[in-house]
Amino acid sequence: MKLKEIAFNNLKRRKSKMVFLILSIMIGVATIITILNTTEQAQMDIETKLDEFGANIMIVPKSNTLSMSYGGISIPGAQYDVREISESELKNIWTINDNQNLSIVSAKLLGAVDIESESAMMIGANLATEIRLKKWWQFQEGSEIEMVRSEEPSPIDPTRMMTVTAIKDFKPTDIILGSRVAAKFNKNPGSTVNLKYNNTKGNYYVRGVLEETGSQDDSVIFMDLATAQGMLNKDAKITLVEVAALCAGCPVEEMARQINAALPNGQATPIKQVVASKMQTIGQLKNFGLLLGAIILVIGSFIVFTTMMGSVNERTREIGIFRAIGFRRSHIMKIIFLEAAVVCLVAGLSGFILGTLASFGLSGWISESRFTLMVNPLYAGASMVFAVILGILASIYPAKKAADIDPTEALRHI
Amino acid sequence: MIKFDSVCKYYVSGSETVKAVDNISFCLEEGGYLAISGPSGSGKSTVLSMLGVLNRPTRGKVFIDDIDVYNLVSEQRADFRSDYIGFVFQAFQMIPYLTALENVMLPLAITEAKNKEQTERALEMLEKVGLSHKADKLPNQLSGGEIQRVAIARALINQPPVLLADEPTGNLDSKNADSVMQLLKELNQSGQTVIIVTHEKNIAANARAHIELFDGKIVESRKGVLK
Ligand SMILES: Nc1ncnc2c1ncn2[C@@H]1O[C@H](COP(=O)(O)OP(=O)(O)O)[C@@H](O)[C@H]1O
Ligand SMILES: [Mg+2]
Repeated sequence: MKLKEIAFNNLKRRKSKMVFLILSIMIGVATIITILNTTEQAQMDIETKLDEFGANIMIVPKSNTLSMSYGGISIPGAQYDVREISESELKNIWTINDNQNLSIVSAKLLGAVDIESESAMMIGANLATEIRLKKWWQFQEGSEIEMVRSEEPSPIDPTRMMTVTAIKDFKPTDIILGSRVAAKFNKNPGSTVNLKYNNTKGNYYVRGVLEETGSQDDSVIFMDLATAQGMLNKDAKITLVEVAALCAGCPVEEMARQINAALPNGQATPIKQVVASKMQTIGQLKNFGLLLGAIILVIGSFIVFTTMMGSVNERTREIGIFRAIGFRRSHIMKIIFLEAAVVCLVAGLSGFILGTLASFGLSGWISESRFTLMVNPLYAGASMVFAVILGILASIYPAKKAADIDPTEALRHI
Repeated sequence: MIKFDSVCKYYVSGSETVKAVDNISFCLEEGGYLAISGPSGSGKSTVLSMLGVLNRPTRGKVFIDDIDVYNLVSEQRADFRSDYIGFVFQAFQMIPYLTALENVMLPLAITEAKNKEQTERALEMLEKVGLSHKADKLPNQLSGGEIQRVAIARALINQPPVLLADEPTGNLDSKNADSVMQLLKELNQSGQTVIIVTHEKNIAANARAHIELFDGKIVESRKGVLK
C-alpha cells in the first residue's frame, strides 16, 4: 500500500461528495470547452464561407461622394451620381500578378428603377456569374433556372478555351427577383413585371425568385448587365465589381492592392474587413463565454476548497493516527493533494467530454445543420492539467491545515 | 533505554495553567514492561504521548536510546516515530475505509517496502494476533477486542523497539481485555519493551515496573524505575 491507495480508498468512501465535487469543476471545464469549440467552429465557418462562397474583394469607383452600403454600397433613391468604371477596364483585373487566384469576377451596374410606381434597387449583372458567386442562393419553386456550360475562347487569350456558364435560354428581358420584392409586388416565377426608369419602360419576365437570403439581395431586382446598361443609359458602365478569390487563405489584401494598381478608376477593398466585425462579435461572445466558464471554475474551486476543508476537519482523528504512526506532515499533505488531483483529473476529463458533446450538439445550429464533432486533443490535455492545478491550488490551505493538526490534540478525546 | 528527565507539561487555557505532568523522572530498561496508572486526568496520556515523541514537554528532556528526541526537527520526529514507536489507543484508531490488513500495513505505506512484502508482513502480524482470517474485514465489521488486536499488529509491523498502549482494554469486556493483556505479556516475554497506561489496579500490579500518577506527579513507583 502506498499513499495513493489511502487517497483512493478515502475517495471511494465519500462517493456522493466526490461526485458533487467532480460536477462543480466539470461544468466549468465543459463550458469553456464548449465556448472554445463553438466559437472556433463559427470562425472557421465564416472563413470557409468567405473563401468558398461569395466575394472577397469589392471594387467600387474611386472618389465617390455618396455613402455606400450594398455589402458596401447603398443607392439612396433615384438621385445618385456615382462615377463608374468602364467595362473595358475590367479586363485588366485578369492581368494582376496573382491572377491564378482569381475565381469569379462579377461586374454590376446598380440603379434605382420604378416597379409599379415604387422605387426599388436594380442590379445589372451577368446573372450566371452572379449565381456562381452566390452559391447560397436558392430559387423558389417554379423558377426556370438551369445552368449550362460551354467552352469559349478566353477573353484575355483567345487561343485558350475556357468554361463559360450560362442560364439556359436566358433572354435579355428575363429578370430574377429577391424574395421581398417578389412578395411585396406579389410576383412569382413566370410573372411579368413592368419596370420604368425616367422615360424608358418595359415589361420583363420573372425567370426566378430567390428564397430568402437574409441579405440585401432580398430587396433587389436582378437583370442582365447589358439590358440594365441600356435601360439606365449607362452603356458599358460598371458601378461595382465583386471578385471571388479561389483559395482559402489567399493573399486577399495583396490582390486588392494589385487590382487597385490595375484599375485607375477603381477602389478595391478586401472584404475581410466586413468579416472582421463578425469575427469581433464572435470574439466578444467567446470572451463572455470564457468569463462565464472562469466564474463557474472559481465557484468550483471554492467548492473544492470547502469540501477539502470539511474533509480535513472530519478526519482530524484519522490524521492524528497517521501522524502517531510516523507519517510526516508532507505525507499528510500528499494524501490531500492526491485526493484533490484525482477528483479534478476526473472532472477535467469528463468536463472535456461533456464540452465536446455539447459543442457537437451546438454545431448543427451554428452551421446550418452540419454537425461536426471537434475533438481537440490539446484541449483534452489542457482540461485535465488545468483542472488538476486548480484542484491543488484550492487544496493548499486545507492540506496545510491537515498537516498542522496537533496529533496529541487530535487523539485526546477518546 | 527510555529516560524521562525532570519532565513537565503545562497546558495554558486562558488565565489557567494545568500542570498535566509536573516534574517527572524515571528510567526504563530495554525489554521492560511498565504500567502507568492513576485516576482520570492524572497525566497518564500526557506522559505516554511525550514518550511517543508526539507531545513536546514544557520542560525537561526525553531520551530514547540516548537520543534527545525533542531535539529533533519535526520531520525527524515523524521518522523516529515510524522507526521506534508503536502506538495502541483505547478506541477509534482504525482508518475506517481500510481493511484490517490495510490498517496493519499502514505504517509501511511511507516506507520503501514493496506491496508484496507489505502484504506478507501484514498477514504475518495478523497471524501473530490470531486474526489472519479477518484480514479483509473493514473495522466496522470487527469486534472491539479484534480491533485492539489489529491495532497491536499495526503497532508492531515496523518492529519498533517501544510499544505504547493507552488504556488498550478500556473499552473491552473482561474476557477480551484478558486476552489483549495476555498478548501484550507474551510480546514482552519475547523481548518487546511495553509501556501501558491503565487505571485498572490489577493490571498495574502484575506489571514488572509500575508508576502511579496523581495530579501529574509520581506518587508511587516500583521495580526497575529510577527516581
Ligand atoms: N491538549 C490539552 N489541552 C489542555 N489541557 C489538557 C490537554 N491534554 C490534557 N490536558 C489536561 O491535562 C490533564 C492530564 O490529562 P491526561 O494526560 O489526558 O490525563 P489521563 O490520561 O490520566 O486521564 C487533564 O487535566 C487534562 O484536562
Ligand atoms: Mg488518558
